[in-house]
Amino acid sequence: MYQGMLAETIFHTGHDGDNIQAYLARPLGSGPYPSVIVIHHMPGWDEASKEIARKFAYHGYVAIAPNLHYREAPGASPDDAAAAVRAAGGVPDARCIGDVKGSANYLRSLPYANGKVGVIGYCSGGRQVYIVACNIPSLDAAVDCYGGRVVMAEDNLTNRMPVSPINMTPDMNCPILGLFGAEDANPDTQQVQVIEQELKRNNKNYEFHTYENAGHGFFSIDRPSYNVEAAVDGWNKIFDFYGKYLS
Amino acid sequence: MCSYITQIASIIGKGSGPNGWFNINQANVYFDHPFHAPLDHAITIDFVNPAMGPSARVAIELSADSAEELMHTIDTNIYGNGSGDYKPADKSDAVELFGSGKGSRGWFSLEKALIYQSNDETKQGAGLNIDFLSKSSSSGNDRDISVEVTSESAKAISTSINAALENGRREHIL
Repeated sequence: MYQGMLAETIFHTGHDGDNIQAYLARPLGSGPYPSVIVIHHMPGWDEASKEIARKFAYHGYVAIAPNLHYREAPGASPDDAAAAVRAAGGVPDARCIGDVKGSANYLRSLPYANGKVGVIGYCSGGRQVYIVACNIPSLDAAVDCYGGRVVMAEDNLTNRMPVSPINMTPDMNCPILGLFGAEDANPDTQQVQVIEQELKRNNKNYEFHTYENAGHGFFSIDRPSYNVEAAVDGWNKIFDFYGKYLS
Repeated sequence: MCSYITQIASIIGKGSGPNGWFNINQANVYFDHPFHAPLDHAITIDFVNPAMGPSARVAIELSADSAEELMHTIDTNIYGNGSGDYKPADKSDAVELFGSGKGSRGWFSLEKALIYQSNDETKQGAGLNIDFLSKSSSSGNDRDISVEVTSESAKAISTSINAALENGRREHIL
């Protein structure tokens, strides 16, 4: 069986009509392929995030990772860009929604895509997954990997992050898969329960799994937090979930 | 920790980073996921000059223990160890470190920091120098990072490290 992929940086329209950079990885074939938007974590639009995009391409998905830090630091290294965005107070939630919406529009314009678009994010990207799933009606499936601060205290809200994502739950537009570690401090098991209860109360389609002995960042192969059992099972659950909702 | 909680200190000094020496006027300190260091969480210190753009940055990522040790050594140098001795470069205090730094050739693993005092009034007054060294720089390679800041700035950096560590404890990740 022939296998091949193309991975490259591209530009697409993002929030407010801005042109932003993104990393696109796709199988070399005519498709039609389902699509996934990979939201990078807080350390930035880095090698690990692009590797995840290529993993999806290997599995037959068109994957795109928009650079949510592009505006503050066009052309800068991912770590410098992440540092600049952090100092500025983080990625504004409204801008993230606009950029991810731009990624979804771009994916749907591709001749080899099947029109179904999922989203996945890790760490701070998991929080952003929750937000975009509640604010972009066209998304078909969402995967939140240990997103912290979905439940935010009033005094943690800022101009850039003005609403606690948990309060957006009534607007959750698509099925959501949540993957968490029992040893995680953010979100801890209590917070995960609160999110789950809120999804249940609003009759949303959700599937949550919490892995014992796993902490925050258990998918990260280049960090001490990597947990092989949780990561392998988690990837299986992700592909089952997307197989169900993006085919 | 996935938060944007950052201690921002105004400082006066200069640093040698990926693009050589430049004036630094801000230190951003936080306890969160590092970019390069093989740690789940690290104290990161970004010595920056925002007006010069995002790439004008000297970055240090340290384990919590290393950061605490660095903080205490800075404090000792600023406030004195009782003797009030001036500590020039050849009598620098060494701190063993676990973490990473971004130097002239990109990211590398840190081995130690050397801390000593300067009293060059013609530049920026009495201050503190911190040289961050990798294993290779200890044996003569130039892959190191240097920061020179005023004593007041060093105090602000030490206070920021302490606050970032406190935040880590509050968030139950330390």
